[in-house]
Amino acid sequence: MSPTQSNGASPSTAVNPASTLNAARSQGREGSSNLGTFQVKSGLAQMLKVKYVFLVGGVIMDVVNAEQARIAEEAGACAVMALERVPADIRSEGGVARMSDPQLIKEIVAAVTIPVMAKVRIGHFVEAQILQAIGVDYIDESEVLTPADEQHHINKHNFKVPFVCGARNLGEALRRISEGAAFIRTKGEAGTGNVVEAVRHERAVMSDIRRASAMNDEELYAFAKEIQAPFHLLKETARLKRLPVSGDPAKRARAIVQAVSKFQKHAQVTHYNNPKILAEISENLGPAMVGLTMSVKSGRHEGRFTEQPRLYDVILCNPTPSELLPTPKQQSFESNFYKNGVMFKKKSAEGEAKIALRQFIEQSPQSQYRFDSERGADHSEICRSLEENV
Amino acid sequence: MGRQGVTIGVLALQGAFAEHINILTRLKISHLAITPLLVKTPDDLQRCDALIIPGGESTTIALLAKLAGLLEPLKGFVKEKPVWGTCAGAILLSEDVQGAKKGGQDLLGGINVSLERNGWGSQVESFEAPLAVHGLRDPDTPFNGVFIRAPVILELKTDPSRPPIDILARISPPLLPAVGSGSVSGSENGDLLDDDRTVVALRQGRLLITTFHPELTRDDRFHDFFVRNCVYGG
Repeated sequence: MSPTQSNGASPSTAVNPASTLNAARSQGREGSSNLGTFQVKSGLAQMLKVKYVFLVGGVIMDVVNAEQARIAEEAGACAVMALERVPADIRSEGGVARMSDPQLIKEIVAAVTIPVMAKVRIGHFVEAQILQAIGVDYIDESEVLTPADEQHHINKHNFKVPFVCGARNLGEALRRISEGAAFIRTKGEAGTGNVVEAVRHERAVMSDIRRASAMNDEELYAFAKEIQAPFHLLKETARLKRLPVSGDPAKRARAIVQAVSKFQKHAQVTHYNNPKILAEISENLGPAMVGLTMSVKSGRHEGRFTEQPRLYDVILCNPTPSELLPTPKQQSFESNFYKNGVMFKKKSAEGEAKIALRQFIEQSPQSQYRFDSERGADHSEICRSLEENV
Repeated sequence: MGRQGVTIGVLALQGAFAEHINILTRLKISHLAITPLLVKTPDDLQRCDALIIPGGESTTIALLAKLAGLLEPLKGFVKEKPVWGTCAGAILLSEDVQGAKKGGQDLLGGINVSLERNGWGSQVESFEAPLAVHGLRDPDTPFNGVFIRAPVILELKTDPSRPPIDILARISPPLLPAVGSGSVSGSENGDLLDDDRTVVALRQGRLLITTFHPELTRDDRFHDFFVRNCVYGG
């Protein structure tokens, strides 16, 4: 018996279509009554939250109106992201970036058959409620928009609609998942067309997952504390060797990275491991996508929303020359600081930290202080423990 | 009977192909050696004895298939070999689709049904429902159907030249969501027992469609069914 020759049709019913349908229907009726019994017996909930999404291998395209959404659908997008302005414009024009106009989103939803995604400001649960009410398929709680809440993200468990959130490292990804995110993307430098940030974040997440997967429970407890992640989620991540969300985050991230990098190269996502096809589809694509250049200052990207800035925090600032008045103890590094009257960025960490600490304490000498840092940060942040003291 | 080998491809252009591969890799059928294969090019397709078209976006999958030069080979494959479509795959295997994108979309055809895309509403209206499925191993245990932006089967058509349609599962009317064209008014539940719109899994010859996603559960009985019945005609 060969698999290609087999045919499930039973010969007796194959010739008479009417009897076939009737037979099929009576069979179906039987099935339904069984179902009814089962349903009464089990009394299961009828509607459950289904937070699985189908974006693997696809491209999500940014669109600002229904017409663009139709173009994206024709071009094979697996979803569209409804935006008021594209990220490049948001970044260059500044101001407060909000959720898109609900009317615009409704028009886009009506225009296409593929899922529609929309962004809300971080922590802005009211925007999310509005989007859920108008029938958006996925919500992106996005750092591209102006954050509405510096400390708290949306409690995404309260929503039926799946959320995607950005993460730069494993701790951040697991915190978002514990808040109810259904899937995780990298935090790229939106609108720049530069994928280096996104690659860095994905590498960081995957590297931490590989480390965690080799740890025993004791080490996982310590690691969970270190990356500020819920232990049970970290343990599940270590067991699965991937994030405990639907699908394969690496593939998805790859898709999204590709999506932001070029509009029409969606085939890249499918054939990422086939260089021959990639060469063909990369030909004659025209000028590169318009992008902004990341502005870099002292090794940190300006204007990037840091995940959990605490109110009243002082994040190390660049000291001005007048604040770097020489004291005997600082002589050793000071010579490195100035060369031809120009302040050098590469400084002794000790000296910079001391200066920042002094400045910080001078602002509010009565406060209690603590030092805090993200994993792998190049320096600690000084924080006031109790804001009432400020 | 010796151990037979069978290569089952999963169309890996977009969507939930990894989940299908995972289940196929786990699946144990005593006398069969199953080799799962990701299908992205016509060459991959040629190596397959059977194919699964996963859930995803039917428009995206169709367009990518066209770009990969797979559309015509797939149409040929559907005519000759066993194919199973889940959700978006079911749309591609249908002869007629309502609610297609403007200007229509490419289908592979093969099963004489008319489907409506997203017939039960958007992502927010997605749902799960226990299903009694004919012919599965361990038939007393219901199969958990996961419906996500699922298509609704509007009508089963009769075609004397084609194998008969065999209904495998219906969704119980009280479990139906109250939205979309799959919605039903509660008082008419009795009339809906043989309404085509309640059909969620069916088989026509070697072709199988499910409007839900068996690959998203840990239950491998539908994959087992496909291999035993559609691939090996058991």
